[in-house]
Amino acid sequence: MNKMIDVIVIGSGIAGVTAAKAAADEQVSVEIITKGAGATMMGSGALDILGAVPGEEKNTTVNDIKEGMELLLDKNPRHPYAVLKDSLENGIKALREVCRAGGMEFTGDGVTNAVIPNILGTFKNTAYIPSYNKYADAAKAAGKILVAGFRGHTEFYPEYACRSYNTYQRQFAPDADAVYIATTLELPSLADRERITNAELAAFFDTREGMEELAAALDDMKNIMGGIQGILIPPVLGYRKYAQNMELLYETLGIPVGEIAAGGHSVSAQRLAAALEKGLENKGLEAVNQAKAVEIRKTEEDVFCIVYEQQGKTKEAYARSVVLAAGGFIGGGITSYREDLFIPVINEPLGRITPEMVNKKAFPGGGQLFGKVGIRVYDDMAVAQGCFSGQIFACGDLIEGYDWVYERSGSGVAAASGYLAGKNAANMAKGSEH
Amino acid sequence: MKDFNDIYYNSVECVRCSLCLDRCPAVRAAGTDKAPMYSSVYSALGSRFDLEMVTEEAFQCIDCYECESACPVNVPIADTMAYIRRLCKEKNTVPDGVESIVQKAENGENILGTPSKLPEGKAEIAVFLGYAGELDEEMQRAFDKICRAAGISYTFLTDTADSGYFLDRSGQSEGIQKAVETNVKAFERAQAKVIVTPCSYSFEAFRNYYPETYTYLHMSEFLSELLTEGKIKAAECMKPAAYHAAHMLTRKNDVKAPEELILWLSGQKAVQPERTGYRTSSSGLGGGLGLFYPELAAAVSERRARELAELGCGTVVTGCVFEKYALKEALREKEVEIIDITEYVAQAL
Repeated sequence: MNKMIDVIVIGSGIAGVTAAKAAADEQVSVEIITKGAGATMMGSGALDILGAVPGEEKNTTVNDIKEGMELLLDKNPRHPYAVLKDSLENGIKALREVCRAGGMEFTGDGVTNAVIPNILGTFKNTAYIPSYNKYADAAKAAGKILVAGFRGHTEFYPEYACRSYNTYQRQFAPDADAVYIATTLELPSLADRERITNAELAAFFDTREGMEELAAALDDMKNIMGGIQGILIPPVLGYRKYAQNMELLYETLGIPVGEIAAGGHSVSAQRLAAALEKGLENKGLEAVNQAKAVEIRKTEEDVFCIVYEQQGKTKEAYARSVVLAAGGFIGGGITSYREDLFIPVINEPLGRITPEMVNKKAFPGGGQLFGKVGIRVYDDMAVAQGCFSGQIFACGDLIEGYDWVYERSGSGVAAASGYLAGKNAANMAKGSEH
Repeated sequence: MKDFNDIYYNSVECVRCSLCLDRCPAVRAAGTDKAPMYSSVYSALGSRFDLEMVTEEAFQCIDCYECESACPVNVPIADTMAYIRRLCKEKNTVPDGVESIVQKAENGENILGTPSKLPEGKAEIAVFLGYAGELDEEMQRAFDKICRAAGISYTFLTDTADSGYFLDRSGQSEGIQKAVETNVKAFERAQAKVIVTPCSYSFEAFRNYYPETYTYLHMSEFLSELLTEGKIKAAECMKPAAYHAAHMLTRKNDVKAPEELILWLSGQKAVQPERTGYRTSSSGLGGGLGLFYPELAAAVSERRARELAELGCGTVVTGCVFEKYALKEALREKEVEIIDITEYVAQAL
């Protein structure tokens, strides 16, 4: 007989990690079963709580999170935040604790959104920013700011970005008063490169030579321009040594150097994924990696058996209580067969995608209806439909009724629902022991 | 090996996020602008109709599975590459330079060099050396030393063919059966019951294509057993070493014995680079696939060697002789020695 675990969490994204931490804090045994990369790898690495409230015509940008939350719940009283807003603080706290153990610090108070210039030339308003973004907050920016790109780097064009930053900064941060100046750097070691990606730059800046060349090039530029009060560069300051690198640049140049916010599938997202994994390890939370959960069933002894595939073998794990944090469409938590949507691991149908749910405009006002697809849950995050109704818990992108793409609420809902699901699963496991 | 339906069904999910390309050691070693066609790999995956468009890329792939473990939506990228290689073989569109190497493997020759002839023997414990093991006399001597100390008789298998791994992964699926038969005959000649291999790729092949009448052990597992049973005795006398995890042991199988042996013999955890365990990085040769594009393989090997040298240990231990062979050159330039786990254990006796 395999060993019995109190709580098994399926998924190791933001929801899964928070759920595991919350359950472990209740003094029960916890194990994560994870296939590895998921939606976390596709994000920007920041923790959003609420960035915008979708409107019929236009989305409302959120600066004060509490005000935004009221507006959101006023428009959509059945939004998960109606239940989850009280767990938000605890959820974020648990999540940040794991991140810190993995070497990643966040700044932010959860009250006001920071405004970070992003790689697309607009601004990203988000609640908790990783330390490498802290010198990039446009709300606090003033004076001449140098925005440096790299020759051949196809993902960021400083000239266009600066034009846009200068024009739109006040729309996002009313007090902003900065002049963004673009420059393109040419580093000696990369002189023969016509095209270079985020990944290659980040790997280069993880080496000492890379940082020496960058520091020298930035220093030159700073002296030529004169009067520069801060520098922004794209988010490529290394996969591993980003925190050290930033401090090193501050020290050598005497002015803060920040990274602008990333778009999707970025170096920063991979940093967050790595920090979560390392944080789990350092917190003593066990994870079965490269394991894809394929089925959950209830045994005769009234415990859950989780069947998973790992390295080509089928294995089983037993738990008193289960948290599903497998993600949505991205991540593999929800999948579709033709128009039918379902959650593969519990074989639970979620209805059909109809033409009405898909707006042909990519980013229509009010959001895409299919983005809100998910499983129904009770207020304690127990699943509220299907054969496991009331028996297992769900969190994160799996739950229905919110659209993180539009609201920029993904991390907040994931952390809050993960916290609640983890805690309640732990309590259920404790109760079933007798 | 996956068939077209599997690949078709699973590659529909590709979201073109390019995380696979970020991780691919071949792309990273060559540079994005020097390997521009790589973007076509996932285009081909997405469209599923132009698989032959990426023939060259498919043969540049060294099957390290870094792409697959980075994929958020589980597209079987490496298996697709292997599938394309098989398709190329069937349609005779294999790139120049590939055929001659594959021919060698099909003829039962060593693809890495010419090994010296080993004496034929009979014993219950038989060692399948694999391509790199046949050339690695230090490893053979180390194994001999261990067996003498343990008082067990063994034999090295002679006149063996490809284990099946290289033939399979380079697209020669019909050659496997013949190779397996040749090897099983060698097992029979030696009257073997337990087949031990120091090569992680051969170990993977044994797990997949061979009859279950024999027990297959990786060298590290065998040595670990000897120590546990007290047949050989070693104190905590070794210096701590850096460890390069062979991806066939840690990514595709769950063999942790080399790390455990290092912990046992040095009293300290092995020093490992950032990418290790199930996320370990390739040595460049990929069980022979790297031979098709040697410059690319050398660049990948150089990249891994740099990571290992940065750890600051004078010695790197690896669980696989093939990985040792692949990394040796790049590490020598950095004045770092690489030894197989067999040699590490032999040194402790």
